[in-house]
Amino acid sequence: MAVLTRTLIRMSLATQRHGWRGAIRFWTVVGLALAIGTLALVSLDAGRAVKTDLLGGALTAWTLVLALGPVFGGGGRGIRPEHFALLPIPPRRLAIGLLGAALVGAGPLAGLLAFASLAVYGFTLGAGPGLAGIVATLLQWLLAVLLARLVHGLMGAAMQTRLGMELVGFQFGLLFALLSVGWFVIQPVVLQTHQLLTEGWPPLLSSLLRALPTGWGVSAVDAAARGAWGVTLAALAGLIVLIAVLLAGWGELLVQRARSRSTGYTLRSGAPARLFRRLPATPLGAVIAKELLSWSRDPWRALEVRVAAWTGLLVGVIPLLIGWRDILPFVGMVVVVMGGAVSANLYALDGSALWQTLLTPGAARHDVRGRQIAWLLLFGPLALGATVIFTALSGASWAWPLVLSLTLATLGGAAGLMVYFAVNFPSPGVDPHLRRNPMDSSGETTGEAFAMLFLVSLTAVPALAVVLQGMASESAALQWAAVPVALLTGGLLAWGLGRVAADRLERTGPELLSRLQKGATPQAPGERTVSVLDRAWKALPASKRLVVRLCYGIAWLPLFPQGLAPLVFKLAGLDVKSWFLALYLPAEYQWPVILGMIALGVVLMAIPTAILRQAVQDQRRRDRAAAEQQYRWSPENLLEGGE
Amino acid sequence: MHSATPLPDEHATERAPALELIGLTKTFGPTVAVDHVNLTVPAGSFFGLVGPNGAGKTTALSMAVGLLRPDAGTARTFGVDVWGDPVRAKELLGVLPDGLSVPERLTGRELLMYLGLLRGMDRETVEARTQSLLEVLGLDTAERTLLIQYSAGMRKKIGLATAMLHNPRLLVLDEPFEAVDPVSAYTVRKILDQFVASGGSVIMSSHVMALVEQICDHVAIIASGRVLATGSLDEVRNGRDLEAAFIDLVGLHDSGEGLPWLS
Repeated sequence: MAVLTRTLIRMSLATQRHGWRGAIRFWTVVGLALAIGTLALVSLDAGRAVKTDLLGGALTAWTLVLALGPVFGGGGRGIRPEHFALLPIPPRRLAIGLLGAALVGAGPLAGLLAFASLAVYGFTLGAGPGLAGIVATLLQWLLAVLLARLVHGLMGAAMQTRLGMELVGFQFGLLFALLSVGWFVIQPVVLQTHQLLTEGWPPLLSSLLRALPTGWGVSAVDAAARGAWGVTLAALAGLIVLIAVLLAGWGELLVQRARSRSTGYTLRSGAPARLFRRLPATPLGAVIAKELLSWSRDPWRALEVRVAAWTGLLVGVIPLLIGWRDILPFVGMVVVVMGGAVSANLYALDGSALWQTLLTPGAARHDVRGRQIAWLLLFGPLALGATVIFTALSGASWAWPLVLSLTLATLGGAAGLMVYFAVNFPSPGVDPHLRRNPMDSSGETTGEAFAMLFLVSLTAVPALAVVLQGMASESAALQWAAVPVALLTGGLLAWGLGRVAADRLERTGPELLSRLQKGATPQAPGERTVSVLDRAWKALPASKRLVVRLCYGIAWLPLFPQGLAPLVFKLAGLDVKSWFLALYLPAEYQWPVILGMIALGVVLMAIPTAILRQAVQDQRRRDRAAAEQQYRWSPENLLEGGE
Repeated sequence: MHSATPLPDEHATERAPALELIGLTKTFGPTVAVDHVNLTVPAGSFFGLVGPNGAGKTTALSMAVGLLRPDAGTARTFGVDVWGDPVRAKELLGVLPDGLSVPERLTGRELLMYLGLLRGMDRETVEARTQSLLEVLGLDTAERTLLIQYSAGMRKKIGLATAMLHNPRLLVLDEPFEAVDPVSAYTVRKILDQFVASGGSVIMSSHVMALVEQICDHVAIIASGRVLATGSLDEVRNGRDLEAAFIDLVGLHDSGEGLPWLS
């Protein structure tokens, strides 16, 4: 058993070394920083009960993040269970081996550091609690990593059925909605930071956090400090039993997975190729039909539509819990923004199927346009329908021109941006014909998704400005004028960015195909397929790299939560201060601070972008010089020159 | 002095070889995958490209059809530069690559309809050709089967159908017979023979010597990214069978011992 585990760990390390690239490094740094933050909780000047509460909360969050990490982070990377389908290894041994392999990696490493806070916390309370803390650290860490493998496997299995896919879609929608508006609900708690530090979580939440398995470790340490060793032992034994049960379950899942293929749902009925007969018999019509069929039949794409729809719906509904109806009219716009963010990796999702587009004369243009139109046919009615229904339900008649123009503007903006991103920043997962688990469809796209959320929202600014001007001057006509403005900006963005994307696809299609084909396959070091950006990055002096990392790392802070968010709140006239610095200032300083924050954010984005641009230009110049040098000195040229 | 790329007027196109690879080169890191490959596939020939695994067959064919940009050299099909005038070249080519995806969530019929319409063919032609291709290749019983559910052999067959759908003048086929059952292989051979007899040209890669020997009239042997021999089948065989010629040229990787423990 030990040999297998050791071998798998070594394999895992090798694949990760080959895949150690920019985005992963970035998230590793973020993860380590957060882990150190978690450790720092131990040194807070607060009572034991409070610290236990805080650690319980933080480690629950860590478990969640680690458990969902592989789903968001391109779980197809590295070692996959089907690699061992032909080896005579009993499922439980394979599960243990794969768990070992899953433990090595940047995410789990940061997790271990965070969970080590249990041990550190224990030793601050005495030797006994310290020992309990060490055991708890290891068990909680194992639990989190094991959960991650299980979630990834279970979601993949669930996605084989339509009902399962709907449920997974709902879960993701709930998660994103909670992340975006959940803080309205917990805001009262956050605002009372002082109270939190003296009294801990509200009693109900506190007991819940300790009762969940994610809190058993911290409960064990706490009980040891009280001398309640029975509780300590029970909590730790509970963790061991839970891990054993989950491990057995995962082994079973691996067996089932080895036998199945990611086929999704079978076709029910209908005339063969009906959609191709209904849409116009043109290249564009063909692409639209292909896309619409893919959106409905590919489990991952179908999931993306549902995630966007559920996120929108729940973002509107969750605030109703505290009686706040004002977000309801914006459900449609949220659907658009989410729909854009989840669709920005379309070319990578289809992987090497791109070859057919490349080998068909003139098809690149039709493919980009067809994808845009299919996306609009799908998300347009969904978003506009949601806007109309929920605005009517909310009774906010003032909101009509606002939400209609925002929805229309972002629809066009998203349709343009998504193909632009899909062509320029593809993040491939496992190539479609090799996929076993639909959750392996995409590579890691966190950065792209965040950028899309921001940029798609930004495309609404012109229409928003017109509506606000109309509101300020109390002119209904001006407010409604935002609708044609939205149609214009949306149309221009969809057309223009689509054109840029199509041009690029036409020019560099083979390069895109190479990139997609390599996909999640890790590359051997030294392969000269590294992008010019990667080489330019390596050539940058360490100081400049630090500046780039720092600027990109913190730019979002002034830009979003301290700039655009209070901007929206102030414009909407909402009296929510939260942690928006500007809104705590006297009225006359609020606008300058908000605008200053936005400007600061933009500058912080612009500085590293400029550095990278320059670096890439320098790298290109060096490449050209090197190529010329080589050309001049090639033996063939010398011979020809001698003639 | 060499002349510039000839203009692809109709007349020149008629006389030109079906495919010319001129100094094609591709390097991946330290590995030279394809090393100044020159190859001529005469119009109307059934050309076999043979070589051991990793010889550079797939890389060379990918560059020849416009899927992989060469580091140096170019490819012409019927005189049309594949990288200089891709639109015209792609009308002449029908390609079956090895190991690539397709829009996996379509059925076979939908895939052919999609590609036919994407090529700008009219609906009636697409429907009629789709129907006959599916029937001939025995795929017309799989109307509810998505491509991702196809077996390896079915994937080859539908790939072949997509390559032939627009009636190209040259078929470029990467391992077309791999995983195809004997009955289907017989059908495919008949179709390809008929295609060549009616004036079409075929280049296919394979590592099954006997098959190449049976159906091809021209061959090239390629190893380590270089062309070791090329010409008509008889020229290359030179009195031996193709396998012997191949082993002479490539060299037998003989460890002598065999596998004594395998009993």
